[in-house]
Amino acid sequence: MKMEPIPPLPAPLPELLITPDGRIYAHYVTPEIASLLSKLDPNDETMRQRAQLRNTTS
Amino acid sequence: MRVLSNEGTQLDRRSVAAERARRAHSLLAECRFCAHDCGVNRFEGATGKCHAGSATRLFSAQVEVADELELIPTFAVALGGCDLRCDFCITGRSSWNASAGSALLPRKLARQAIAALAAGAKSVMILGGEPTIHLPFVLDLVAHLPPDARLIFKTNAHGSSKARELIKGLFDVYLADFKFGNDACAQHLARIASYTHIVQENLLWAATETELIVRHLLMPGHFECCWKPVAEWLAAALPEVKVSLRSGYWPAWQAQRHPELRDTVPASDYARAVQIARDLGLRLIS
Repeated sequence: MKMEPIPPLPAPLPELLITPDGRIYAHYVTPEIASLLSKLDPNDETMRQRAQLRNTTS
Repeated sequence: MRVLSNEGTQLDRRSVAAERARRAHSLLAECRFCAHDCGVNRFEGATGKCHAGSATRLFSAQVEVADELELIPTFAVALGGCDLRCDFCITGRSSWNASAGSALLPRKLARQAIAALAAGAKSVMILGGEPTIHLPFVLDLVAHLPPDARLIFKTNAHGSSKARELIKGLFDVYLADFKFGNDACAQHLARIASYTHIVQENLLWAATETELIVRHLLMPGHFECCWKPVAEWLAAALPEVKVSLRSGYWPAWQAQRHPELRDTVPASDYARAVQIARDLGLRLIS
């Protein structure tokens, strides 16, 4: 059976806001962005947990 | 997710969703999906407060990890258009414009979702904008998804009784915003009337129907007027419900119109908000 190609989907660019005191806000956080943000702030436990999910979806 | 008939027998979610999608499609002729209750004929180009026509467009569909830990990674599908007009909306450009984004058939989108699930996504989240205004599309999408997929309906909780009837039993999680703690703030920031009553009605319904997670985005200057009343109501009316207190507010879209919304939330306010939640015994999740 010939499979129909899966169409491309809209994937918006992640948006980041960095405040003068160094806090980083992010929107459209993909696993890759979570990994990047976790490296920027290894003490951010919440982001570390999200970054760990990267390997499960790649 | 088990869908039960009135007699209590288990039904196939896909066939139930397909039948309801047809019904929802016909209801576009007199749209009453949200609590605005506009009654316009969306087939003929008339638009209500959401400005949505009969077509649905999506502005994002990808695996994301920003939501609650128990839901991620999720394949998040964001549909354009919303029935609220929150000036601080982080996706305002697309959420306020139902014509923004790409048109895609639900069955093709479902194939992407299935591929994401196979690659490790734990759930499929349908959001907006606001998915309630696109129920024909949403239900058609559900009809093409595996019956065992974990489905999340991410909503502003401003749906009507008709919408509740259409989504009943189809979603594993109802992820609902409770944004404002009083009607004056809702009117001022999102141009919406009778907000608290409508949201509370939807949350009470959802709590009996499915797993409910209530979100509140902490906003600067709206601690006493919005977070505290929301927290107190949840503690009194839904003490067992999971509550997700979001700290990621930033002054997006048209937030500059409101002086108090021009900054982020101080870390001390977030800590105080968490303390209030704990004092009230709320079941916080992250």
